Amino acid sequence: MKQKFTPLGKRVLVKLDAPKDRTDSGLYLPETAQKDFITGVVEMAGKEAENVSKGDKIMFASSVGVDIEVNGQQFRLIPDELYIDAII
Amino acid sequence: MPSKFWGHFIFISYKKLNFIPSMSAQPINHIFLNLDKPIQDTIKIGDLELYLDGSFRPEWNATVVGEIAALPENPKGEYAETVSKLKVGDKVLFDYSVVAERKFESDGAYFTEVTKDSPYYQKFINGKGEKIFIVAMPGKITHTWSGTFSDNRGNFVHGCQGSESELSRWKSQFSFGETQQFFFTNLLDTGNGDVWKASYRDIYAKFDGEELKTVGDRIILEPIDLDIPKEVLTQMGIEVPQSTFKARLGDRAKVISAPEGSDLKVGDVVGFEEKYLEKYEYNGKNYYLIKSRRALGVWEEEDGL
Repeated sequence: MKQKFTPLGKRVLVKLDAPKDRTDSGLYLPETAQKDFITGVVEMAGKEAENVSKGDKIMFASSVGVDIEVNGQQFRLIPDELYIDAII
Repeated sequence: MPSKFWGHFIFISYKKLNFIPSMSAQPINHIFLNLDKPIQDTIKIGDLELYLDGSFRPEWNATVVGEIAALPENPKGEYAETVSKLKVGDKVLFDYSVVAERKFESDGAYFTEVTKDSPYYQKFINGKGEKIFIVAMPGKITHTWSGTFSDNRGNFVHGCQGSESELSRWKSQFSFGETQQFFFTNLLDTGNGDVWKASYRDIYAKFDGEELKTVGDRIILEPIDLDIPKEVLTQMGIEVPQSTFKARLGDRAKVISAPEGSDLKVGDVVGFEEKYLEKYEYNGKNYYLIKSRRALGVWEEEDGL
C-alpha cells in the first residue's frame, strides 16, 4: 500500500536532484562546492507556504531540512519556505 | 517528609523550602497542584513490589500527573488561555521539572552527578552552583579525557586534559557525595498540607475521564506498534507467539488530542523528529507529546495506486 506525506505549516517536501559535479561550461566543481547548495523539485508544500508550489525547481543550502523516505524514495523536508534561496 | 535510604550507603533527606500560611492564599502567576506521591518509588514485577528511592534522581522518577489545588484569579500573559481551560480539581499532566527541580543547601560543597550513567560524559553540580564537566573524546588508541571546573556564574576557572588517570587525579581535589540535604524548589508548605507550584507553561494536558486532552500548544500522540511479520521471526529462529513481538515506529505516531485551530484531527498519523518528543507514561500507557510547530506532516495511506 502506498503512503502519502502531507507537510504541515510552511514546510516544503522536495525531491532532490542528483548532485552536479561540473558547471554548464564543463568545469569540474570541487566536492565542497557541490555540497553547499542543492537543487530539487517541490513535491508538495504545506498549506501556509505561499511562495512555492508543486513542480517548482528550487535551490537551498544543503544543511537545511531533514531527510525523509516516502514509498522508498528519498525526499528532503524543508522546515520553512524562508530557507529557500531561489526558484530556478 | 521522612528521610530515606537508598541502597546501603547513600543517605539523602529533603525538606520544604517555602512556607505559605494557608491555602486561602491564592497563587498569582502560578498554579498549585496536589500530588498523591511526588516520586514514583515502586516498581511492580508480577506480584512483587520493589521499593526505589527516586528522590536520589527525581528527574527519572518524578510524578507527572496531579490534581489542581488552586488557580490564579486573573491569569495574565502568554499562557493565560491555558489557565482558562482549567478548574480546581482537574487531573492534569505536567512537566517532570515541577517535581524534579531541586537545589542543594547553599553551603553544600559536595558535587552531585546530574547526568545519566554515561562513562564518557558527566556533569556535576554543588550547592554553590559550581559545575564540573567531564568528557571523553575517542582518540587513535584510547580516549582523551578533559574536565572543566566553572564557578556559579559559568566562568571557566580551571581544567585538565589527558588520560583517564590524569583526569581522575585532577578530579580528586573536589569533594563528591550524595550525603547532603536538598530542597524541592516547587514544594510549598501551606500549613494544611503540601502543594506543588507549577507555571502555566508546565501544564500540558488534562484528563477527561481516562482520555487525555491537550491544553497548551502540544499535540498528544499515541505510539504505533506494528507486529513483526511471522516470516521475519522465523528467519531469526524464534519460536514464540508472534503477538509478543512488536516494533514501535520511531518517526510517526497517532494523534490523541491536538490544539484548537491546528490542522490535525484525532487519529491522524503525524511525522516527527524523535529528538523533539517528550515521552510520558501513565497507568501503563505510553504517550508522546510534541510542540505543534515541531510536527512535520501527516502520513496517509493511499489505496489503489
